[in-house]
This record gives sequence, C-alpha cells and structure tokens, in this order.
Amino acid sequence: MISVGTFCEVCDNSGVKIAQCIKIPGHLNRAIVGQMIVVAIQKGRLKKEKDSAIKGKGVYQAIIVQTKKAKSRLDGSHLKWDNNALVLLQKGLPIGSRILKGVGHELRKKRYTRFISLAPRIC
Amino acid sequence: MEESELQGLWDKFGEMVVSNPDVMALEDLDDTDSKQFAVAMAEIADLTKAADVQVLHVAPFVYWTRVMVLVTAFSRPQVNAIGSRIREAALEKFQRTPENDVDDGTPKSWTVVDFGDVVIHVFLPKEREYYALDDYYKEAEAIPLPFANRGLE
Repeated sequence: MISVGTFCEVCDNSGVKIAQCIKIPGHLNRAIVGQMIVVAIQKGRLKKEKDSAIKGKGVYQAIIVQTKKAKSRLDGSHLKWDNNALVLLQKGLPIGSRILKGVGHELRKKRYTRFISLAPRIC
Repeated sequence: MEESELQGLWDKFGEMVVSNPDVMALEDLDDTDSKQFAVAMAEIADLTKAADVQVLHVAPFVYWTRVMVLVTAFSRPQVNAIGSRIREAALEKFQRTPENDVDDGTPKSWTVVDFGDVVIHVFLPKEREYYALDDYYKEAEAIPLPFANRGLE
C-alpha cells in the first residue's frame, strides 16, 4: 500500500533506481498493486537521457507491481513482497523493455497485459 | 514424530486433494483449440496487410496463457484496424470476446487483445524491435502458418 511520499524501487531496465510517489490520481490516499500513480525520480536516470543535458529528476507515471502491505485475494490468500516496486510508463507504454521482478496477476484484470508479457514470473 | 508415523500420515493425506475432480492439470490440457483459434486470428491479421506474423506456443514456459500471436503493423490506424477486425472475427466465427481487453480505442503503438488462452500483440515496427518479445520467448515452438507462402505462389 503506497501513499504520497513513499520511496519505491523501480524494477525495470529503464535506468532509474528509486522513485518517490508524489500523486495518486482519483482523490485516493493509498494505492495498491495494479494502480497507476505519479512519481518523481530520486536516484538514477533514464538510459535514453544519457546523451542529453537532462539528468533525470523527471516526473513520470508508474504502475505498482509489488507492495510490502499484504494484498488479499478472493480465494482467501494473502500475498506480500519484500519491497515496494513499480514500473515506469510513458504515453501508456513501459519505458524499459524488460521487467526484472515478478508482478502480481492483478495487472491482467487492470488491463495491463503488456506488462505481464515482459515480466519473468507472475505471482 | 517417527518415520513410520510420518509415512502413515503421508499414506493417509499425501495425495493431492482436488475440490473439483473434473479440473485437469495444466500439463494435461490440450491446446488444439487454442492453436486453431490463434492461427485463424493470425490469418485475419494477415488479410489486414499485417507483416511478420508469428504464432508461438508458450504454454510450456508461462502459465497465464497458452498461445501468443505477434503481428507488425505499419501505422497507428492499421494497429486499431487489426485489433477491431480480430475482435469482430472472434465474435462471429468463434463466439468469443476478449476477457481482459487492453485497447480503449485510443491509437497506440502497441495494442494487446487478450482472449485468456490466446494473447495477440500488434506492434509498430519500432516497438516490436525495442520490446523484442520474439527474443524473450525464443524457446517457444513456432506454429506453422498455412498462409505464410501465399504471396510467393
């Protein structure tokens, strides 16, 4: 469960390491797995920007793929991960070409099947 | 606990308990229907002037789908056209609708049509090269397409 101000790990190969949540769309206080949020880059920079004068610190959209807070499912099970992790977006598409960690299968019901296609495993 | 006691428990409760005996294991599922549906959808994409159509049997590697179709289109309107033609043909011929449809009508450079056991990706050439799903699932078996040599005859 992620709120405004939470620092999250970026688990794709975009080049960014850590990002901070700065906005949860929809007048919500908390965000869960499969939800889109707005983040500011805190550590690392995009590989695409290496040759340019811009050194990261940008604002991007992101999809939450892992949370420390347990996520309950309809079959009665609960699932939680070690870190809060997310994947960066630009114009609705992932910035990185690969996802480096397992993602929750809630993404499929939230219409993010393309992220599942890039992930190594589905939890 | 002694080993004999553990063995007794294993003999009593060790077998897998399935609430619904009609449910089959994933390995026993037959993918013939999925493959036929995927090849039919690939032919629809080919008739919409798509290029580099590939049908991959990814069931041995991922559990969330059985067959994946990769298609290249050359413009965003063509990406939308292929997606809508596939949805119409699936409804007319197979009475199937996408379960987890990604496309919301806005033109995109990568559209996914998700039928559950068959997932269809339609890319622009730049996106197909960048995300390289062909390489990611390169160990999957490529299903031969009956229309692959149509233009050469």
